[in-house]
Amino acid sequence: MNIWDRMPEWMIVLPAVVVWVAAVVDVVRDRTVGPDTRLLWGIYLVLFPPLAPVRFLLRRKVVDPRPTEIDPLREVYIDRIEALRAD
Amino acid sequence: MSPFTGASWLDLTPWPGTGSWLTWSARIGPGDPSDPLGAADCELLRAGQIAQPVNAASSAVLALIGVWLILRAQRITSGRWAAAAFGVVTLLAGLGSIDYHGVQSSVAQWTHDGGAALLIAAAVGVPLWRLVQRRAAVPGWSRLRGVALLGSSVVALAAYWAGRSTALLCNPDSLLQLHGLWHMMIGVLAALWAGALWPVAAPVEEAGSSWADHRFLYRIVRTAARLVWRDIDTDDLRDLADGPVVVVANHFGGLADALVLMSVLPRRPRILADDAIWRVPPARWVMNRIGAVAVHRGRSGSTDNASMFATAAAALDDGEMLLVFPEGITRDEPSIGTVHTGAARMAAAADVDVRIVAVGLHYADKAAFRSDVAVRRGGSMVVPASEHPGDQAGIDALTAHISTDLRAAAPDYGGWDEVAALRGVATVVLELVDRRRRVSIGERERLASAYAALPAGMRDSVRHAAESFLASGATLGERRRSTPTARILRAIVWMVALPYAVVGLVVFGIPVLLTWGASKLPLAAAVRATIVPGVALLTFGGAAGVVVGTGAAQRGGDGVGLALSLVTVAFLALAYTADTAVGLFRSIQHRLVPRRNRRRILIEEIEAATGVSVGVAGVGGDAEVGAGMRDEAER
Repeated sequence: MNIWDRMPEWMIVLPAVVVWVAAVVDVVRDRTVGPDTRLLWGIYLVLFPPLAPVRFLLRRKVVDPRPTEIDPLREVYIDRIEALRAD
Repeated sequence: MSPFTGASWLDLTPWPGTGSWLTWSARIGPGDPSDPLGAADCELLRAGQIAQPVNAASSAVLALIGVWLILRAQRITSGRWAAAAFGVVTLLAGLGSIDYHGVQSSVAQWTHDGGAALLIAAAVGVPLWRLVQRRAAVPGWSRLRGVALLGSSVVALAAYWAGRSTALLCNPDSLLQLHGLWHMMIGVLAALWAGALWPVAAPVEEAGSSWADHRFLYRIVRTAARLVWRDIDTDDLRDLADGPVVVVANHFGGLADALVLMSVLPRRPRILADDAIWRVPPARWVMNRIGAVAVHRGRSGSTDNASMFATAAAALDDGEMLLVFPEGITRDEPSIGTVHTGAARMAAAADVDVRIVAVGLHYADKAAFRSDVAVRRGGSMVVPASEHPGDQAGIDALTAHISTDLRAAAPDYGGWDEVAALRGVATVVLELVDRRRRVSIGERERLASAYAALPAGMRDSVRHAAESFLASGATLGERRRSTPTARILRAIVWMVALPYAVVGLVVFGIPVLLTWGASKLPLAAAVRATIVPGVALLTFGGAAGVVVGTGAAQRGGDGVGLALSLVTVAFLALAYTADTAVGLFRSIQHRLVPRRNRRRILIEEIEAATGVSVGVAGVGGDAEVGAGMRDEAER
């Protein structure tokens, strides 16, 4: 399964560019660490761009799972049915 | 420049002469020109001060492991100085080897052989000395460590023999020197052996339960959950991030339940699990790493749970979160079984106020690959420390309360027919209430559960209407109205995603087939729900590992980064296109079935049964009530 010789170079590079940009944005917006740490991460990303994915493995910041949005109109209907509940 | 030879400090050109490793002229210090230091270890002797750069660098790894062993000794309570001395000996062996392969000073032969002899003497002498003293020779011995030692020894010896100058695999010019691997494996063996001779007791105080303290575990869990399920809808659980909490959940899907809940809970829960899992060595390691607590139910020969309750109570006292499946075993019926008293007893054993929260897991198909799941939050109660039940009657009353909350949060239907009927009618009704958005599994499950909880007469009428609708041949489908902008955006995403989806298919085609095959095994659904996430993790991880490995082989360090980015994008593109294609296929399938009249009848029957208007003008409901719902929603 050696896919490397069969893909055009842009297809290999494009995901890395996207991930690198995402990593830079993530570093800049990360407020769970101090400015020194962010600066170090920034230097690291500039010096070793292809290793940007590692940023997402090592960062301290974790995203709290967001609750799913319920459609407001549907919620009114569901609330009304729930109110009929047998106790 | 070297003060001795005039060559640069690290010069990769061969020693002047023919260019062969056999070439030798007077180096620093005494030596036999016909048998130069390191000549038998394959790597070309170079002109700089470092004669064999790779063998010297790998010796530095051995020395660094020695330093690590010295630092590690600080955490050892018994035999700290001996452990530190073992680290010093390992460090000396590494330094001696650096001298031998690198600097090649006048005493290199002595430092090299002396360091090695000291290391062997310490490794053998310590357990022998303990035996003489009638103490445990290797107190940290375990089967896993034994296997690791044996495996590492085999690799080390193979590397040694294959790394000799006379061996077929010897390539003096290569940067990959098997003798270097031998050096590093000696370091690994020293570390493993030191771990067995001087085990470090597990820390009593663990890191906090925040996901930030367990982020590697969190990323594995999130990746696995997003790999196996297409959509995970969850109610808001973020307020459970602090304080002593017992989460009680229904147990429909084995490993699937734990994965889904860990992916949506705001911190690492301490999972209460069957001790049988600890009998499998890799699983035991995982369970210990994630802080799980073993429940002894007799399958491993013990039913004494005193230590389990003590651990659980201590965790609550420390403000941690427990995750308990109070039914005890996984269940293939869409209802809640007998709720046992364990959760109540754990809460009662703690010395702090404990919050008990019921959480329900609703699977579209728990054993399927790329299916949907909803996590619904039920009632919660705070049991103050001053009111913890002290007798069996109090425990039973608290358990009854937990049972009621759990039944309200989790699927609790009369049978699979009722599930199909009520989920079906919920989908149709919600589509009609608001046609702008797809009906999510969270919305559908909430309404289906609300129908199931109606008074008996109403519920039977709703169920009858739903069954007639389904029996008429009408099917359920998604009828979304998309705007032109959304269509253009979707087309652009498709164009970009499609080439990567093809790459994703090449890379993950076999894992997809294997995981899908696992979901179709002729086993109980709850068992498949455990197997599917496991197979998915192993096969997808293996495929990604192959791509990263080939990337590294072809492009070095850059290849690792490129490969990690590529496999991520390829997987997301494959998932997006496959999920969209499945949705498209279903919507076409449903459009073929005339159903408008059947829907009208269904809605009228549901409205008649419940007295609640769906609020769709012209479909049985009256526009005024519909407008009322909109007003209420806007408020």
